[in-house]
Amino acid sequence: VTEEDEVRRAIAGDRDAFAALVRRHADRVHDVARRMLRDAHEAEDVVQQAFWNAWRAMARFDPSRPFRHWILRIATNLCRNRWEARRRKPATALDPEAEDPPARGEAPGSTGSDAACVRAALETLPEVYRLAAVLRYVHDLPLEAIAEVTGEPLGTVKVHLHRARSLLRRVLEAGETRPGPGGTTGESGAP
Amino acid sequence: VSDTLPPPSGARAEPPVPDEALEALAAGELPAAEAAPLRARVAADPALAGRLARALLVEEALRSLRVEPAPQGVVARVLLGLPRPVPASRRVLLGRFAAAAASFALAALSLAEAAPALAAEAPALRLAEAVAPAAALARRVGSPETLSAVPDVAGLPGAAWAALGAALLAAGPLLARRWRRAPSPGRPS
Repeated sequence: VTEEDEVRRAIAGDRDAFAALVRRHADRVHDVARRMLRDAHEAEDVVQQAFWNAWRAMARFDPSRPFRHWILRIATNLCRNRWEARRRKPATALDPEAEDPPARGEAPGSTGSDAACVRAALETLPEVYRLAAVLRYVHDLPLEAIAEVTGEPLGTVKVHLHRARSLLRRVLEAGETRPGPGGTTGESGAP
Repeated sequence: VSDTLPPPSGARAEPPVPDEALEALAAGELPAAEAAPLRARVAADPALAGRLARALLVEEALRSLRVEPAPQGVVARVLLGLPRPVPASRRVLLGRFAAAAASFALAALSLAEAAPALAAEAPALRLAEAVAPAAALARRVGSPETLSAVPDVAGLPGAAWAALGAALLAAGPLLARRWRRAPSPGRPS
């Protein structure tokens, strides 16, 4: 059974077909949400909400488009809503909803080759740059697909990716873990 | 950076290579027509080659990242909470109901436009504004003066008909949600 078949059946209201789509894409949606929100619990909430929203809107989905881009766009928008909510609600040290600390296998060093270092460095990026980098490198999306997922023009995607690479290069070369210029909403979660 | 230094005597000055171009080259995103001359420049310039090497390191590091699996149980929780679908027959019914409600409200507004001389029931219109967001639409379609001049139809003041139509429009989505929540025989929960 191909994904196209599952999508068509899900559009027709087939719950089992949609369940297959959930199984197929849950890891990716969770990965994006986890990297964007840096909070495992919130990421799970986003995964649930994203698929529920998709299920409700399946009748409006264009089957000629990739389902993956659509579900990632829904999840990305949910993550953005949560960023906004965080901006409005400053986190405190005891806030149970504060972000997880950035992953730190070991401090980013000059080699920059260790996956844990890169992951930690990636988490220091401002959200918009992080999103572009995550979609490009972790999820291997072409630039046009990133534009579709983020709802941004292609030129903006390129700029965000360039800034993400520049900041990462600086972080990896300097062995820093501080957030880059522009800041992230989750600075409070970092030590 | 050597690509910003003056070129050797007799050589044509070339513009400096921005980081974006080197990153795009490292990422394989540069069109072939631009990549070839840039590679030639990199080959002739050790400083450029160093910058490209750093860009390649970042590129390689980023490409080493993998999608991490979702925790166990996430898929099950998603499926457990999946709302029941609205059967196609109900969707058609809801669509017809919404269309009928909209037609009703628009007909009432048309009456308001057609018979401006007759008296109106302003309180009813205010009620419509209070209970129905669709009254905003009514305000856009007709001015308050014309809306307040709706004729009496079937014993009811015209503005009351408008209010009824607007209320129907507002109630449509609520009824739709209620229908959606209703158990659907033959569907697994």
